[in-house]
Amino acid sequence: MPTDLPAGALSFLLTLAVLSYLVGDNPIYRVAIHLFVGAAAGYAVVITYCNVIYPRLLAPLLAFQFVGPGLPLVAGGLGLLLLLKPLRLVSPLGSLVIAFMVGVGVAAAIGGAVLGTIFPQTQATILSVLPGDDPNGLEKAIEAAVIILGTLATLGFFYYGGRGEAGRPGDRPTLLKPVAFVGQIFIGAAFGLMYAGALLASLALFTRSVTDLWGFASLFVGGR
Amino acid sequence: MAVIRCQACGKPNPDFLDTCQYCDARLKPLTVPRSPSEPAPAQVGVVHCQACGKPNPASLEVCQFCESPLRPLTGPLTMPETAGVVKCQACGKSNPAFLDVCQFCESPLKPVDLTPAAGMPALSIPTQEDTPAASAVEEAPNWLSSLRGATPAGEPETPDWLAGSAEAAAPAEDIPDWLRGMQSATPSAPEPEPAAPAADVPDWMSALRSAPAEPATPAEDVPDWLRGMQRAAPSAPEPEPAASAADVPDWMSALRAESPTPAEPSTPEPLAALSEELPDWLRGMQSEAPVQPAPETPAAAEVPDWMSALPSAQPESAVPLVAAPSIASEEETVGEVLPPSDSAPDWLLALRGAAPEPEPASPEEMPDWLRALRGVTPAKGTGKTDFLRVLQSGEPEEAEPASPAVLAEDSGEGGLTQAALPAWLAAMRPVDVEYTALTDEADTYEERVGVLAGMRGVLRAEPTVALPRKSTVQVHKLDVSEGHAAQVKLLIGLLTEEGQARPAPKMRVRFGPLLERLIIVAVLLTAILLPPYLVPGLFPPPATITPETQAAFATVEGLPVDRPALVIMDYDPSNAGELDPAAAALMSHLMRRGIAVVTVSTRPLGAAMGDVVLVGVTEALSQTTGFQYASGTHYLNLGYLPGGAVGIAQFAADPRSAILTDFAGTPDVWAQPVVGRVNSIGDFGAVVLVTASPDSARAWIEQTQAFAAQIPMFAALSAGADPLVRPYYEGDSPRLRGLVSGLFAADQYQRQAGQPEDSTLAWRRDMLGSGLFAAAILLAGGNLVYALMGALRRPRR
Repeated sequence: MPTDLPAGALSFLLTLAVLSYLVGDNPIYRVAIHLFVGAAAGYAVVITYCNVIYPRLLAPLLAFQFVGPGLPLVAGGLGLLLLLKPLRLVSPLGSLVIAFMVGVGVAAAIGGAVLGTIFPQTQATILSVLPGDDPNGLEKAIEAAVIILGTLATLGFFYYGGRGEAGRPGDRPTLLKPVAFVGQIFIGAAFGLMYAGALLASLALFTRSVTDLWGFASLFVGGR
Repeated sequence: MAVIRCQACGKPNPDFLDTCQYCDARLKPLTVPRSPSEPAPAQVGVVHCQACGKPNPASLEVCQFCESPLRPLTGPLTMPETAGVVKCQACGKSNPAFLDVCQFCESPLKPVDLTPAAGMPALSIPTQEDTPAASAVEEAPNWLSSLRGATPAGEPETPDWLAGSAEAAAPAEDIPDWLRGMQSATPSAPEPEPAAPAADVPDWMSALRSAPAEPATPAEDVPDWLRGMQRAAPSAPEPEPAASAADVPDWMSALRAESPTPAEPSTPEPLAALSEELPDWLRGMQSEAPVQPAPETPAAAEVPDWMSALPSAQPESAVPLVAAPSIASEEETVGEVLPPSDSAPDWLLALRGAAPEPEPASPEEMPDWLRALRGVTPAKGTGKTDFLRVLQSGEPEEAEPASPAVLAEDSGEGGLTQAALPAWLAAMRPVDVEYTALTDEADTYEERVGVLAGMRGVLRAEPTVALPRKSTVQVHKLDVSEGHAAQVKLLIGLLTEEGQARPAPKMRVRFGPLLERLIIVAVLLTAILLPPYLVPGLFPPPATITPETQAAFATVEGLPVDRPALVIMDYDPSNAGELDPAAAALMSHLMRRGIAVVTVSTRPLGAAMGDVVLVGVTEALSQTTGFQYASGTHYLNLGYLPGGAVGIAQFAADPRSAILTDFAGTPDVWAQPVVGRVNSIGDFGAVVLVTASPDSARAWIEQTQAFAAQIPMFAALSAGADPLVRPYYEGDSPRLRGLVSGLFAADQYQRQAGQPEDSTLAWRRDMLGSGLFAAAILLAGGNLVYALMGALRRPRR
């Protein structure tokens, strides 16, 4: 809770300005949003300059250390090419840098996804539906069956192999229709859960804002 | 090279072609070459009817439309013999010339007419009696006689001995009176020498004796009527014997020599000599007669067949009407011995190969294939077709109109000639279309680009026919009604108003959605603000802890103290209200256990959030424990890690190359004691992931999989990211060993760790509990209202 008056007053006003969106879009809300976005962007630029640009590029170049961690000369050249992207005549040079970045990023993402997500989660769905000797075996078996059913039904829902007839939209094969229906239920439940989590997070943030506002106001009106 | 577009198919053709190379349609109109002084004919092969004016083929005698005569009757010699058609005098229908009786009514078609044809020498009346052979020939129809001969008048098939007997002329009694009259009225032509010798000696024997036949006929053998004719005829000098071998005719000389001797194709001298003695009127007829290649033979058209056979009985010294067919070449034979072309239909003449010279048809009139068949080369007899000559010469050659004489020479007598169809057959032909003279479409377009640059007449990339055109002819007038005019006026008004500036319309405020929004806000504010004041402690602190939170707590409890823990602060200030308590609880727990904390973030604002939390935790711990935590020794904020997933992978592999300075800007960050022994992410004691984004959590989990698989990793998540990150915790081999999800879990963890409770946390617990309860009621009520409204609207639809 801000204790100093200027910061507290500013946070109080900005919070009210954002809450003014309850009555619709208005200039106060826009001013507050612009302030937040601008402050965040400016702060990001400062962080990037202090943590990346200066220590990785400018400091080595100023110290004439062209070969070092991060290859400052190469990084600077690529950065300049990227800055030429808005210029129409030399924009293809910037496209080379973007292509390099996208290619490396996609390669890293795919490799990590295969090893860190796809294989482990596929393996997690290979479960036994037999209770076994475990005292909680029945519970685990039911859970495994639900996981397997949910996985297969969800995959069945995303089956787009239906053929459409003349004058009628495409439809799934008859055997896949009940599977897709079950998968739709699982997908709905997942989205509902995510919505509930988002609602819970939003309420938590709102309570934080209300608490801060009440704390600032209590400085003047007294209270708890 | 000019291009001519076919009028039938529209495709371009070179100008040297007469027919379209695609559809064989004629490209050039039929024209007749003529001399400049000669008036232009109307149309070759077309005769316009004088009655109806419609075009008819020239081969027709009567109009095929109105049956009016196409040619005026000029006299007895204008019989349509040239067309090979004889019109029956009884029924009036057309018949082929070779028929004796009408094919429709069987009336006799041919009256005996001995009037000589124009240009033909006068006939000598035979004085000998008709022989059986001659009779036999006479009995046969013309066409049969001609077919027998393909040779002159059938006589060559007659043996000499029979020829000798046949030399006997028909008796004078056999000649009808009308014929006699005609003969007497006809100026006597140079009388040939008496053909046959004395009747005692047959001709074949005379031939064997090699004795020349007596040229003169004994006077006693001459009938009276013939004598009369001779007397009436002007005396002509005796012609010189034609043959060089005295009295021996050529054919006989050729027989003796047993070698073929070509007959003289030209007019024999006796005939020329005779022509000098012709009367004036006959000379006039001859001069008017067209020059024909084989006019020597008398016009048999007007001579009966039996009389046509008689020339063989004429004196050999006379006009050599008949040549020796067996030894003469075909061309010579055909040229000399065939009966006049007028006497036989054209088709028959065509079969004989001795068809009369066609009408002065120009080479242009004939199609190419016909020209090729005839062997006629239109241009100077080069034997090549037009296009071939053009290709060889390299430049187009103007078509030189060939004269009929040239055509006659080039065509040859053995070539195909254009046969004239009989009228009854010609009437079945389609009507000749009168071609209009077309001007050649000279394409002067010259290509300027590409490999065809400089060439003319090339096909253009965009043909002119494909270009959009707009007709300049007004095909119809618009019928504008009053309604149309009103609509046009309205449209003009609308267009005019669009260009004028108008004040912006006032925005209508929809009170419905605004009212709903205000109601929801009011309910939530009431539920959030009132309970802490009205019913404090409505939601007590959690007495239990969830398994994932307990797992996270247990993991921290089991961490070694000699290795720092890496806390990833990947959330922005907007999520601080939810994640700050969890992050603070975890850091406080770690630092209470003496584990150094190192923070890093892939978000620029996350680095600041990490610094705020670290400072708050250390201050709180310092106040509680009295221990002073120092940056670089007990904790360290590495700051911002750029590069996203790539930066994470680099940091996992080599943190020293990924981070050069800490958040405070210390240059030699890795020389600090807290990270002095860290060379990879595996050197950390644990990885604590604090994030509100499932993507960030997945990226750290995936990219550190290969380098930090053995070190524990657990996460403090936002409640919204929990469903998507939980699978990494609940698997058989979970990557995450614990979860602290949301504000409730943070409260549980704080209590589990024995940390002092924040004074505001109780408020927030009450507000959050009542707010969630109100949200659940709103969701249920909203769904119920939506279902009821849908049920109410459904019947209306």
